Amino acid sequence: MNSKGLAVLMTSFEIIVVAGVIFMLITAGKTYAESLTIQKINTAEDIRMMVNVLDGIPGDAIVEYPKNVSAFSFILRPESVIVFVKDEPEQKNAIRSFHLPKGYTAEGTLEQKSRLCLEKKSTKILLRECS
Amino acid sequence: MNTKAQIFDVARKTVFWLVISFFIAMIMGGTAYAFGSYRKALLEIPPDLPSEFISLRFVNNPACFAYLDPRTNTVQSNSIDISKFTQEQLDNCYSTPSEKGYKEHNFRLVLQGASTELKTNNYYFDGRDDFILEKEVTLYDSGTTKRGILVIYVQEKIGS
Repeated sequence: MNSKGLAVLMTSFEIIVVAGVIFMLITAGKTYAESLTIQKINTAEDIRMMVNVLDGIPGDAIVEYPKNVSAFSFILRPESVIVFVKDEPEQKNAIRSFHLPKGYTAEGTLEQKSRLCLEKKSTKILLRECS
Repeated sequence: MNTKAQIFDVARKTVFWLVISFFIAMIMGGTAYAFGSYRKALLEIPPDLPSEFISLRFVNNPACFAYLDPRTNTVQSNSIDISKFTQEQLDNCYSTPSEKGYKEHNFRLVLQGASTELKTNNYYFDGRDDFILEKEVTLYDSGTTKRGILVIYVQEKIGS
């Protein structure tokens, strides 16, 4: 093998290795980005707990979720809260259920807004954007 | 450089890059795992916290046992209206689905010094509770009030 050919071979090999490392970095970055899933689950869990707290206080109240939630959309139903990322498959939704006292109801939606509020008005719990 | 030296150089570099690639992959995988574990540890919820939040309703919500003052129409926080302390009222206050409700929080409620004991519909853990919560309450009984303690036995969930 002549030395020029060998140099080309070596350069090609090193390019392949560097490309491989870049690919792995992208994969690792993607994995890290998937931590959005963790945030989604935790947000759903937080909202479930907030609903339970609102059920457990006498009188009306309004509480703001202390985090920017613009990455997510929300649906609050009488028996559960669904947190999801728009355009993601339904299987990836984070759903957390709760059990309200009889006569109580919960409702509301929020789509990719930064500030989320939960409001308790008499026997209704409302999820909405903070004003 | 002679041919043998060149071949040796190629082989040496190839092995070097293979080994380095393996270690880089290991380090990246380990870092991603460490980040995930760290975040999970930071965000872990103490097991008794959700139970504490749910049980707030027993003593603060008039749809449960809390005393509603008929004159002012205000709810007395941390109170129990003895006339409401019934199984029917508990079923209206907190009820889990009959099929999978055993995976939810379930409770056994006892007023210290009283014989009445109430259980939510999927409570099965008599004496083997995950933990116990106690709440100091004001008991309203036929126009009289006294201090009391509501003991809440918690069955977190059965199974995984």
